[in-house]
Parts: sequence; structure tokens; C-alpha cells
Amino acid sequence: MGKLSMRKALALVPALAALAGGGGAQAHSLVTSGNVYDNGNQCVHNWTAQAHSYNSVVVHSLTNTPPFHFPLSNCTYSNSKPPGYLAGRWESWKWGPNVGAWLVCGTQGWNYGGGSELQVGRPTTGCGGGYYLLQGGAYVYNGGWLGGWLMTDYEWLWS
Amino acid sequence: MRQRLILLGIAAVLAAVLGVGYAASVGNEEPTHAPSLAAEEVYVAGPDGEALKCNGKLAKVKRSALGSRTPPLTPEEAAQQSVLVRPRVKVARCERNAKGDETGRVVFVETAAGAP
Repeated sequence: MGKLSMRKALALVPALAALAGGGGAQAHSLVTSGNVYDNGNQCVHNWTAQAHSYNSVVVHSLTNTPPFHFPLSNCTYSNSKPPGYLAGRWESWKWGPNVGAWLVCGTQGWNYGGGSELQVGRPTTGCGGGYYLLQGGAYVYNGGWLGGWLMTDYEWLWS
Repeated sequence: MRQRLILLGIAAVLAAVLGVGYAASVGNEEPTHAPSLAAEEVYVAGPDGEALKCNGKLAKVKRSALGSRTPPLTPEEAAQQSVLVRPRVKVARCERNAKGDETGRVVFVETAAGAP
């Protein structure tokens, strides 16, 4: 057994440790999406997603099928808006087993934009291993701010 | 060959012990309920990722301190903001006085993305 073999064996330790301890981690994003406002002409679609190290909210301003278009469908056409008319924000929550309640791990102020889609996304704030979920707010201005919040399911994350 | 297997076995046992130990240390108790979207007050996480304690007491903050539930600016005001100036991530910390002692209040500080 040479030095090289010893090094190989030692090099396996971190990898095996990760395998042993990281069984709870899941390799997918949690997504919750849907229309949070619909008055027939103006629709607001909220797409809130929690990935392993990234939080994101996508705001869509949509409307119904324009006249003389077929097939008829609701809330599927882009409804472009001037700058500042779309807004999104997220809050990252972590389960606190010691208090039996959810803790706000981090949040971000409102991001504003225009057009028919606004993407808000940042790396997570990193509150250590635990169960996390994300709340995301999506709003479009149409005489007032219209929209609402959605919440993902929770999952175990390591950061 | 036999020595390699022995070393590999030792490494596997060590990894299992470390992994189980770490999992136990961070706690893996599943949530019992979902957070309320309408809660007036909430707990916040501290630098260690656990519930923040200031002056030894669990800290609760007004939900509004995290930010408004609807956008506070009009589109005109928002459009005047530079698109290059994105809001930074905010985290909760205990407020300290000039002597460095905790006052018992919670403040929100901005942090670089990805850093607690």
C-alpha cells in the first residue's frame, strides 16, 4: 500500500460524508404558480420557486384572447405595461424546530419593472440546514396594485 | 488490496458517523404547520440560522418591518429608480448600543446576496 492509495482512501472521506449526511437533500425546485388576480381583462400570474440556492419570483401581466383571435382563452396573452408597472418580492422562511414555528430567514425589497414579465431572483440568504419554503408576491399596476402572494411547499435544504 | 479495503471501510464508517452526527446537530424535525400569510408578528432567524434571541429573549418582529405586502411605490416613483439599483437581501440582527450591548430590539440589515 503506497502513499497514493492512502491519499485515495482519505479523499473518499468527504464524499462519503456528504452521501451519509446529505440524504435529505432533494435535487429539484419547488414551484407554486397560478393567477393571483383575474378581472377578465387584466390577469396577474405569479410563479414562485425555491431552488437549492436560489429564490425566484416571476410576475406575468396577462390578458384574455384579443378580439378576432381563436381559440378563445383566458389569461394567456401578454399584456405589456410601462416601466414601473410590475412588481415582485420574496420572503425565505426556515422552520425553527426549537421554537416550533417558522422563521423569516431573509427577504428582499420590492423589485419593479415593465413589459409583460418581471423576474426577481437572488441567491438564498443561507440560514443553515433546515426545512425551507418561499413566499412570493406578484403585482401589476392597473389603477391600483393588483395581485397576490403564493407559497411553495417546504423541503430540506443544506444552506 | 486487503489494506485498501480496510481503509475504505474505515473511511465509510467515519463518514457515516460524521453524517449522522451532523444531521442530528442541525435537527431534522419536520414542520407541523405552514406559516400564516396574515400573521401580524413573526420570528426571525439569527446569524446562526436559529430563532434570533436578543438579550436572551426570543425576538418577534412586526410583519410590516420585513416590507409591505403590496408595493409601496407608484409606477411613476418606481420608474424613476435606476434598474441597476436592485434591493439587497435583508436579514435580522439584534440592535446594539454604543457600548456594544444588545438593546433587545431587532434591526434589519442589508447583506450581500448569498451571504448571511
